[in-house]
Amino acid sequence: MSKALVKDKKLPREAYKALEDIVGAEYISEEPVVLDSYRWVWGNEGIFGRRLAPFRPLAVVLPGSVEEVSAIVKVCNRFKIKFRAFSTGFETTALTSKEPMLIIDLKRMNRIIFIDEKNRIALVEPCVSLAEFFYECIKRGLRFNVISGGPSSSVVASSACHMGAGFQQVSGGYQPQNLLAVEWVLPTGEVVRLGSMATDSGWFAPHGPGLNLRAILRGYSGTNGGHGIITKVAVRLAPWFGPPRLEVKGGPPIYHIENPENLKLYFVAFPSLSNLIEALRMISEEQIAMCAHKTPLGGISLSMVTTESNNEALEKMERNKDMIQKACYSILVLLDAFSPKELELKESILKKILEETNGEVIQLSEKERSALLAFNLIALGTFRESFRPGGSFLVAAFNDSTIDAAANTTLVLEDILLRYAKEGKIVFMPGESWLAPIAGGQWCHVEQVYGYDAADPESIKAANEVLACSIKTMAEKKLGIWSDSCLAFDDSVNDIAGPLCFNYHRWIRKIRKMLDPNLVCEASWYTAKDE
Amino acid sequence: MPLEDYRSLIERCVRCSHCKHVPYVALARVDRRFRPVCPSNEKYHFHSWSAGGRTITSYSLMIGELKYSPKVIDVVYQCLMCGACDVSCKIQMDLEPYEVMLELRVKCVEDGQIPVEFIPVIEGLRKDDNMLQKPKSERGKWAEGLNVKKLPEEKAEVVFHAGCRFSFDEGLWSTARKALTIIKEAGVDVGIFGVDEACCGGRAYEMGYQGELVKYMDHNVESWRNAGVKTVVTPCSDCYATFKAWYSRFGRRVQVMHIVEYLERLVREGTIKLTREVPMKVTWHDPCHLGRRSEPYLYSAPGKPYITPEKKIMGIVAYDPPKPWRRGAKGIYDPPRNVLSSIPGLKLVEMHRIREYAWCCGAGGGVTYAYPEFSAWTAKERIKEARAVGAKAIVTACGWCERNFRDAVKDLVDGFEVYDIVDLVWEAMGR
Ligand SMILES: Cc1cc2nc3c(=O)[nH]c(=O)nc-3n(C[C@H](O)[C@H](O)[C@H](O)COP(=O)(O)OP(=O)(O)OC[C@H]3O[C@@H](n4cnc5c(N)ncnc54)[C@H](O)[C@@H]3O)c2cc1C
Repeated sequence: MSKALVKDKKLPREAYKALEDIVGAEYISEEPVVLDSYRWVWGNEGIFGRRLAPFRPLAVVLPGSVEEVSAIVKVCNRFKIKFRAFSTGFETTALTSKEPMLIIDLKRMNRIIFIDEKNRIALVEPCVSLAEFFYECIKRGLRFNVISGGPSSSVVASSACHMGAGFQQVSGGYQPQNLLAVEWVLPTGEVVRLGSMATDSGWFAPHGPGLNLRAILRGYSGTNGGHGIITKVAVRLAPWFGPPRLEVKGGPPIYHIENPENLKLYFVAFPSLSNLIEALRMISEEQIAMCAHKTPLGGISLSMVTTESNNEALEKMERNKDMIQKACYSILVLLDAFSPKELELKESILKKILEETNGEVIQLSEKERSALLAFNLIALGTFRESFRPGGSFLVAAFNDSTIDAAANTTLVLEDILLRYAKEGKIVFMPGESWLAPIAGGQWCHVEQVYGYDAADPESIKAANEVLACSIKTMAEKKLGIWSDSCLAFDDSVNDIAGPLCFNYHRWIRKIRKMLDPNLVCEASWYTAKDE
Repeated sequence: MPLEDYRSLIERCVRCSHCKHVPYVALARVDRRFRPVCPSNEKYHFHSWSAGGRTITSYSLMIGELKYSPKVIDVVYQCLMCGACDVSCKIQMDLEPYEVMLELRVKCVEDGQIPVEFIPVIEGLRKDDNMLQKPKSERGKWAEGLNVKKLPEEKAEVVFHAGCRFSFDEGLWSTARKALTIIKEAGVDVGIFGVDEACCGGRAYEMGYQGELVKYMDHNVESWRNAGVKTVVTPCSDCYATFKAWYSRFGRRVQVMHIVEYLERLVREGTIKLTREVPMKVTWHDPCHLGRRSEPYLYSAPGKPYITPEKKIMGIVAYDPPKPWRRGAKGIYDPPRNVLSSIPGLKLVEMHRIREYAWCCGAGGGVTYAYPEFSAWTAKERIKEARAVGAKAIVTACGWCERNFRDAVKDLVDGFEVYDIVDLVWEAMGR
């Protein structure tokens, strides 16, 4: 049910003045037209029945430095104002709240402070996007895992605040593993530096003297702004064997990328899921690939990512039924090597693995290759598969496990998804699931994404039903339900998952209370309940 | 086309902010400093000042939760309508952010919600058929003494349409004169309407005045037909995009060439010879209206331009019939570069933001009238970029861009030049 606008709530004048004094009049606003653009984000329709939340935030403030951030948080404590910060504000968890809050948009804090080539460390501020970071890193022979949130997602949010599973994690590890020292403005406004920076010894390590607080800072899935504000993160980088600059030609929407030296993309189909899993496991173990993952949305990915519009994608589905069918059990592998000789060797290993697992290399057109390369390098194209079909998506199975367990999870929910897809209410194809092994493949991230039409109430309703059903099934079958908590609003999953998982929800509530005595952080996407 | 017709497209905006930046693959060739592509968002910071933000504003106004206020007018009109957002958005989405912003303006005009500074401009247009508030009687002055056919009294195959800026900005007259002379001397059967020329209507339309566009479209198309005109040639990129894109949006197809295309053809065919050295390091500024905004609408019915019925297949939203998307790729990008490369001694260096993701000059969308400081700031940002790549001059092919740039470089102590491409060709011809 769509909800109508609740009467605007305003900040006390004294508080507004105090905030304005910190950032200057140019960087704060409580104009309705400004606030409206901060109450709209994809996913809201599932919670409120429409994209525009039924209440406006209290105000929006744009700090330019850690000092300003700290001062703002202190004002929030003084006046007991709920707040949440974000880096790009693209994630639902950035803008959707239970009640009006002060929004802290960190867009002005966008410096790459350094990239230390020798030690493979970089230090960045919140609004550095993964794509621009990628381009800066490759100039220096380095790279950082990109997530399927896409090229605009920030290094900081994906590392320290929200999930962090991505396309290159099979080689470089995923964000939580690569997070080093951090600068953190606590919910009280106090600025702390964790890890090696606790003793001012440099940004190189997550472990400081005494306890390693990284688990509290972000835990498994992130606290989604429920725990203060991260103003700098240091991250560990992986080696990049390609050229310092991608050669891009042509025009939009699918730019042509010359094949980078020392890299080679493979798109491989398998006769069955078990073959596919075996191949993924072997590729991960052999450590031959920069990227190796199950094509996230299978046939939908292939048809959407490599085309310019939904019409073209549907035509492609119709024209290439066989290829689309094969894409449902397919993987994307990007081999990278130090030298052409090493690439040859890795290719021969891959060939051997595919022989053993009945993998079939699918030939790609130039356009498909360019599109899928951009997809793997900077996650460009993830919107084509998840947002372009109807403007929104949700995730059914969502889990980190062994590869086998992860794959099994998706099978459990497939029937439900297919039932709704058949009625045309959601977008989903058989076999669809993103399996992304992490660093060497001991474990694996899984997401089972389905699209829906954000402009169609029927479709929104169906998407919500599928989600509820998925959560229930995951809980009943004890299939890693805890992973869902970072995507669940208002403790809806914590209350189900907590009792199944050592009552973790009670622990995080206690920790939250300790760090945030005035409960000023709007923590609807972490844990909002007070124990 | 009422805003309401775009409702489902509006509701599918995900707020990704891609509309604020150079397309992410193209970013591979852009220095990080020049990543922003939306002047409005760069200047005014908050999300409302972006295509995504204005999409939300449209929705909130449409459902009555947002009421007009001076700030709403600022949000709507502190935008150059340069369309860079539209290119970046459509890399991945089947949405129409530019169309939504345009319809929002049309709605604002209908509701009488405009910056007051627009009033004299539009009154001037209605009275004198131009956007510079100049007397109509002065319109043909720029061509005095050129000995060229005068339409509609005479007939010609080609009409040279100078446009309001070239007609009334005396500092640009020589460019228009050179352009016309080159065409004439190439043996083309060309004429001008002179004092009888009228505005194209494009700038007014981009301010939200749809009625003015339709009025001038009907008038111009009719006048050209009566004068036997087959092709319209213009040195103004705004006029070019209007004839090619906006008129086609309302179902009228016009055979139009920008002077740059004409020059390229003449150079290629050897009709004009570029022999004199022009030893200069220059950069090319892609005018929005020559580039991304100039793509015609490939299908449209009068008054029903761009919405075709949606249909869902497998839950995927598609269009029936399929819609040919305008994504900015098919603008006029190579001809000016080819012409400049043919000039001996001239070194062309590229800026970071080029072609479909070029940074705007700052003169569009009515901003020059209502928010001149924003307009000047945008031009200065572009000049900074030109200087950052080592250029000593910026070359373009639009009177509006040139005027804005000329004003922006006025105070520079170490000298930086602004040229129209016609001027450089003229010089290279040894004239
Ligand atoms: C199509 C799609 C696919 C996605 N796939 C993945 C995926 O594969 N893996 C994955 O990990 N995620 C994924 N996501 C989720 C998400 O977009 C990303 O995790 C990403 O990190 C968000 O980055 P951002 O900068 O846009 O975040 P924002 O929108 O800025 O913020 C995300 C959350 O972090 C908090 N936050 C951000 N910055 C700060 C800060 N400096 N201090 C405190 N809190 C902060 C916000 O409050 C918010 O709750 C996906 C999203 C989309 C839309």
